[in-house]
Amino acid sequence: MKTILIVDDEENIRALYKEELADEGYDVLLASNGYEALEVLDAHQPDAIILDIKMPGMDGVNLLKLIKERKENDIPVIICSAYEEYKQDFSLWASEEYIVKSSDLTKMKSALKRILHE
Amino acid sequence: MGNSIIEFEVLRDILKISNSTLDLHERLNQVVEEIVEKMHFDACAIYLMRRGRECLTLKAAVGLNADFINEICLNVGEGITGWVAAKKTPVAIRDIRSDERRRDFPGCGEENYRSMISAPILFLGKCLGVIDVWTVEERAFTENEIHLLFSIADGISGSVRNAQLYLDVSKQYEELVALYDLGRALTSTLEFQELIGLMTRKSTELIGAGGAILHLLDDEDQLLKVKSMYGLYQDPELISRTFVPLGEGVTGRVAQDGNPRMINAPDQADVELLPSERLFASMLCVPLVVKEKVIGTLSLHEKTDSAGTMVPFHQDDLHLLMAVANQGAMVVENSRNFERAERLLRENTERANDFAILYEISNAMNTTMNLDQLLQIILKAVTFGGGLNFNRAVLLLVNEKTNTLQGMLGVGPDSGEDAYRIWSEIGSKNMSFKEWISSVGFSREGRGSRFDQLAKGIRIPIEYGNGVLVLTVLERKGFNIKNAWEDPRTNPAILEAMGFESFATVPLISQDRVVGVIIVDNLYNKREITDEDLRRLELCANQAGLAIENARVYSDLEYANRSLTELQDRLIQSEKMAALGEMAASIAHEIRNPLVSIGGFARRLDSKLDAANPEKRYSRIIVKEVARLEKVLQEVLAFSRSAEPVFQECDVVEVLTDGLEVLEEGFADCGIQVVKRIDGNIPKVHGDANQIKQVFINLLSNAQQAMSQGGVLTVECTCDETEGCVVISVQDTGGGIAEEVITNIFNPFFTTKHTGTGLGLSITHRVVEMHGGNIQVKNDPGVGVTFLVTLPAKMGEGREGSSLKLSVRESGSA
Repeated sequence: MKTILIVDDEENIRALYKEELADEGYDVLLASNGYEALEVLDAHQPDAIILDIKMPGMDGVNLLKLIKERKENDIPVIICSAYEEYKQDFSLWASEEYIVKSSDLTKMKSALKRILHE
Repeated sequence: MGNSIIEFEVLRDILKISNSTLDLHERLNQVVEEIVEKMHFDACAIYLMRRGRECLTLKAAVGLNADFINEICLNVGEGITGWVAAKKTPVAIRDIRSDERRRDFPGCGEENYRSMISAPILFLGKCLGVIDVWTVEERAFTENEIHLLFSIADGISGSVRNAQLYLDVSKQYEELVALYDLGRALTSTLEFQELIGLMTRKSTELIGAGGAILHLLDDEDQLLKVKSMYGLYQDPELISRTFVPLGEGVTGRVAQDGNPRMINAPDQADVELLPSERLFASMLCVPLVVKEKVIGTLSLHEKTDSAGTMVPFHQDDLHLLMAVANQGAMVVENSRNFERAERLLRENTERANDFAILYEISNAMNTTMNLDQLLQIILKAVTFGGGLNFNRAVLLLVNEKTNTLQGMLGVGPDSGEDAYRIWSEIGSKNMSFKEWISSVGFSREGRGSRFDQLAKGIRIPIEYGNGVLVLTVLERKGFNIKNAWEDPRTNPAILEAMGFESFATVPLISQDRVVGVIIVDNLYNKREITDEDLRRLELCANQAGLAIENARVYSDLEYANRSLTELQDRLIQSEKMAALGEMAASIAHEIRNPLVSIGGFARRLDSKLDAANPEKRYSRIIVKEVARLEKVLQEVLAFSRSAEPVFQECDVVEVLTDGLEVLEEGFADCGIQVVKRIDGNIPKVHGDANQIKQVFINLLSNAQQAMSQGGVLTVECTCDETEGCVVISVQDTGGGIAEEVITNIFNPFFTTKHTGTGLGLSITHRVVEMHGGNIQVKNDPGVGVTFLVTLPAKMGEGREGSSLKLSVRESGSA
């Protein structure tokens, strides 16, 4: 069973993702900002991370950098942001996927499947 | 003594004869008869020295063949008689036949005699003639006899002299009359050719020469040119074509030094004769002098006497010809001046007409800034009967983008009948150019004719070998092609299409640039295109070139103005939208998260509800409505996409200065000295000022962080005109970057700092690349780092006027 880490400051969003991904058969870990996410990553090795950009504390950008610096820990990242305009900046080089947040999670799910080679 | 009586008698008779009123000829006859009769000689003859020539002519004789009177001519020194004339002393010869000085004239009768006395007729030591007596018998003459003959010679000398003086006077009188006639004739006309014709004819007749040639000096090339010839010349063509340089030949010498020359023996002349001068046995050449300046020469050739025998020129002839020349020169000069004045007047009148036409044309051209109308006016001017009067004309313009010559308009009748109709129409109305232009308007006649269509189809690449039209552009000069099909420079395709046979071209030049070409011809009336036509065409073309350029500039300005207005409108629009977009974006992002939760859970709810469940309807509504809201959000956010740079004209210096101001405090806190070197004339760039500012701020803050313990920051801004770009360099003294990391500095998230995202240089790199520029780093380990940002400039749009402001600021900050 694949484990997915969800990093988002919005509680309702986390809840929505968790339920949806659990339904899809994933184990789901949660973090509400970058620091929490790092703590989770210290204890776990998720198969993929779904990451929001704009968060209080450590934001998605900084977290992404730290994740990428941990070379031994190469976890694919899907950015899932309310901001469409950062797509150009990140999709090219920082993440495996950049998805603009939507109530329809089809895109996110199919991106996960692709990244995890399912 | 009988002899003495006879002597006395003879002398008395001779004196009587000499004082009689009979003419010289009659007197001489009586003298020779008296001598033969009274002194018992068998024959007697008198030779007189011919005027103007060292030669003795038999004038009267008894006992000689009368046919030889006036025929025998002895040079001084020739024969016994000539010897006597030369020695001026009488001689008695016992046997003529054994005398070596003897000269025979077979048939004259002298051969019948054996002995002779010959005595000179002297007057004041000058020999006027010789008197000869002969006897049939050989005998010796007494001193007395010789003396008597000498006395007789003395006796008639006065008579001869008087007669000669009389002849001289009457000859001078005749000459004066002739000169007077000439003078009257010369002043009776100012017609130049007639005048100089008179001069050559009259002088030939007056002096009895074979012919005369009048040369005039051409002030421009300093060559003497034949202006008039009179008389019999074997090859008048050759002579009239020979131009004589000053100082060459007799003619050239005379014209040069102003001294007349008389050449009776061409072989012994003091100057080398020209081939054309060597054709004649003798010549007399005098200068034509006006106000001490030689304006030409008058030459006579080969004088003959009344019997047609060629005789040498005499000093008197020279004086006479001088008189003619003096009188003639002034008149010729007057006539020349008159002709010049007339010609100038004629030219001025023509010019005045030209100017009047040009003025009208120029006025007409100034009535419009519309290029199409202007081209029509130009070609109408070129083809108008009262204007430049060409049958047909085509105007082509240079297309600089494609480097081709492009036909714009053709004006001209399509056929001969058409031509006749149009011209008679214009002719009957007798319109001025202005009237014509306004009457014809701009749409009819010429527009849309076959000729015009053909003209508009012309497209010729501007390269050598493409015909005269292109040559006109490349060599910036007009051509007058007489025989187009035989001229290697022409383009047969054009000739065939347009039917050109002979034509002329002229470039339209404006501000040293060829903007187009006009080509004209006279296909219908076959009138030859003259230099004068070309001159007027050129004048017109100069005007046209300027007018076309003006029209172009005007149209460019109009276009620029229009685009500027559009740009301004767009700018206002985009500013509004930007403000709106920013607000919308912040709201939209705030709304998006809750919407995702609402919509996401609604979808979950919806999927869990059975289709039969009545609540399923509610959940569907929520899902649909959220989807609708999300779609609206997406559209709203499309306005505010800041990821795309907003390109505008951007002042790099201003942006750089702003960037420095942002970090001013930080620099001061770290103890960093800022050195600014900004060139005076930095062009604008095309770019997003905010993004470029971010680039500078990134570079400057990197520098600041590298020099947290102080240092020197050098900021330079220069313009690389050859590359057409602006170069901004930011140099720090922060110790440089370790070589092993330098290759990574533009990678995202790479940083050597403890704070910051590391995205700075990566974004900087991307922004500069998006602006079509590049960024380079020069690392000097242990010293510092220099970043060089190059941005393409909008060339030709410098910052004139602000350079002063900049230099003031620079000195203030230093």
